Amino acid sequence: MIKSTSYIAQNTFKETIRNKILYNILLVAGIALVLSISFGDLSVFSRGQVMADFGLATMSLTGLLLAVFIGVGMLGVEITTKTIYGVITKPVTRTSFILGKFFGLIATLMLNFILIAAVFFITIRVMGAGQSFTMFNAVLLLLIEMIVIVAAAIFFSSFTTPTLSAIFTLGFYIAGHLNDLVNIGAEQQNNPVWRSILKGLFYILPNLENFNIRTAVVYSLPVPSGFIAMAVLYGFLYASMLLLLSIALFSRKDL
Amino acid sequence: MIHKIYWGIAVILIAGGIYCSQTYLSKNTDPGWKTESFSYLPDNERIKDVLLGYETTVSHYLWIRSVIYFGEHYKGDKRYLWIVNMLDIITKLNPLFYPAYEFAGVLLPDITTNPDIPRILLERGLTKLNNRQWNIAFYTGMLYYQKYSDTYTAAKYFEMASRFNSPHKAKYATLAAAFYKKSGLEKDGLNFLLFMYETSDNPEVKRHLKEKIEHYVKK
Amino acid sequence: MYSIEIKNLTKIYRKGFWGIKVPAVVDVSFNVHSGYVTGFVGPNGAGKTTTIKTIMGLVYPQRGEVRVHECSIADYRARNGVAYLSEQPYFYGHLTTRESLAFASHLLNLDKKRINDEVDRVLDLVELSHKSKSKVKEMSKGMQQRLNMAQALLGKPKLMILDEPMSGMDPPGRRLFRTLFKDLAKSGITIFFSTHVLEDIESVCDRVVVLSKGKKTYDGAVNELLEKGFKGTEIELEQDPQVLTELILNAGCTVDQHSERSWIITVPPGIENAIILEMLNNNKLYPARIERRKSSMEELLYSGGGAQ
Repeated sequence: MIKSTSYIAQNTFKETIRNKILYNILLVAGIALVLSISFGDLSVFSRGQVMADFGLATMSLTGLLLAVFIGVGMLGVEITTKTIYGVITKPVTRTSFILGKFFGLIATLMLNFILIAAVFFITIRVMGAGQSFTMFNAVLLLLIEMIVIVAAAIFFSSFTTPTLSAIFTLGFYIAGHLNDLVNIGAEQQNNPVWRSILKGLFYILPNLENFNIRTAVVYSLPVPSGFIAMAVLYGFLYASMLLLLSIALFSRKDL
Repeated sequence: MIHKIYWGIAVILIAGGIYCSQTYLSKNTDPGWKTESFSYLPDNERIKDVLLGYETTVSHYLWIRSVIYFGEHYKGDKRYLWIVNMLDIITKLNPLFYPAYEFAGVLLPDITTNPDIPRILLERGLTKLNNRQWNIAFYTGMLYYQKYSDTYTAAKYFEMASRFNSPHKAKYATLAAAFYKKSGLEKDGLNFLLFMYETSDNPEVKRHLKEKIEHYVKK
Repeated sequence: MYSIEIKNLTKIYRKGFWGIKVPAVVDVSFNVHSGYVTGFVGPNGAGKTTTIKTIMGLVYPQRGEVRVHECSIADYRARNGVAYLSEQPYFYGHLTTRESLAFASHLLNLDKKRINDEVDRVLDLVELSHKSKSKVKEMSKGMQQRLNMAQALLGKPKLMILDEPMSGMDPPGRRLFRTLFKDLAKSGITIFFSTHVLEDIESVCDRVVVLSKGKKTYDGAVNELLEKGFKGTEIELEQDPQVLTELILNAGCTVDQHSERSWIITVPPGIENAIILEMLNNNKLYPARIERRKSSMEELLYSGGGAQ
């Protein structure tokens, strides 16, 4: 199973790398990043910090675009066009297929993210702003967030059409960034039933704000020890759960 | 069957891990990070252009964040570094959003050292709301009285408040008269009360104003 | 020994917003004998593709049991040594021919060192060696179908399951495939393929399974089926057999004059041709033509002529 997963991952990586649309997205991401950082130059406050934050925000949005494109486009379309037949009809489990797809997409995402991050750090440096360890941590957490988004895209693709999957993934992203309001709402509730429901929802829905330490970057605030590690762990666990659910759904799907 | 058991164990372990890690992260996240991340939003009209028609929605979202921010810092260090900026952005994005002006009138004077800040926000409210909210005029009057010790300007604002149709119309009129008197302009106060009495259609208001006028005359 | 065993297979699809049940295959049971070429025939919508997809683990049945080489299809290892050729070729467009076959070889767990040789071998078999570096998306449909066959031949499978393998092929391509099937069958590979073209059944298959509206209507040897459709022998004469007419009629045959110089004697099944031929020979009447009359395969399969 490990071998077949590895070969599927390699094939997926090759497929996404050879896709021209990916390069268009990268180009747009690069231009947007450079422009947004330059825009930060207009800030009344500390230039460097605001530029860093605008750059990170742009990376987050373009990373979302990448994650949705590769997550939905690769798996969902493969089911629709039936190229999956060439794999599933071999002595390969559906679990291997999902995992292979996931790892292949992650490899592509990491490569592209490294390129975008390189543009970010170079631009920051050229614009005269300093870099900090927190900034690297912020980029790392953005990458983890994108991994979770890819896992979500695969999850949605395992049971619905590519278009719906893209919509659900975007909804997942928005819900993930508003999830802390659910927690606050739960704590304000006097009704124990409603409180429990909201609390449950808070834990079930993703909390993508766990990967957002842009403010700490901007204000050079200390990030509590273990926070980064725990956020990374949370990201991997959540992505694992989404993959488990994807495998469970995909295993019984008629192709 | 054994496969299903393994799956079940994996799901439980991962769910438990998610719960524990999320709990840890919730406890260790500074809530101020969320609001302070908006603090350097440009405070000019340009921000509206990028919101593509969602200014009202964004203003409401920022208001929620401001309330949470205020509450957290009220319970904590009682330092509200970014509240003014937030209110400024909210009222620029959504000039008709009354609660922001009310906050500026009720709470802001006590938490800022500079009375000009709430004054600017309140005056913006008076302009943008087309004078629909009598409370803003009242709060402005109180601000002038409490922070600037300017009873005459306060009287003017109370007078403005009393000109709106509100349940407190008569009381605002009385207050205006009282502050005119404090400013040494008792006659102006009395003339104002007489004007309000003559122009009012509300019998209850008329009755109240009549009592006050008689009180002034007796004096 | 059976390569495929299907027992009481039922597959029901749910269609539309309300999930209306549409039965595709209902209580179908048959076995595919090892080492034989078995055809799988039926009109459109009979359930052939659904049955094949169930065997390959692409769809899940509501009821029934399917085993391949005595291994349940629920286990992915049932697909070891099994090659599948889909009706349409589905390849990753970004790969070249060689890369596609190499990828398939990896998934089949072939020895890494042998993969290149194996790819060359199958490309030779389907006459696509000259296209090994071409991207799949740049190839014609017929070539892609040949590539499809090439990937099915990788690793010398014990069982080949093909869903309309000659669909969209030109006549030379069809002849190539038929020859290939016969050669593969001689080497001991079990072949199970679905087709609309009945000529393929007659020319290639040892056995045939017939489906109609999701139910099995025939399962047996092709020659037995053809025997069932035997309608007798026609003997054409260019001379009037009037001296023998009574004898021929007494023997249970019929005599008809078709034209001025053509008389047809029909010998029904059950009567030896030799008796009639000897009779004619003794009277110096020599046949211009002798032909076995039989029902067409279409008549046999679809008109209830072959139903069990």
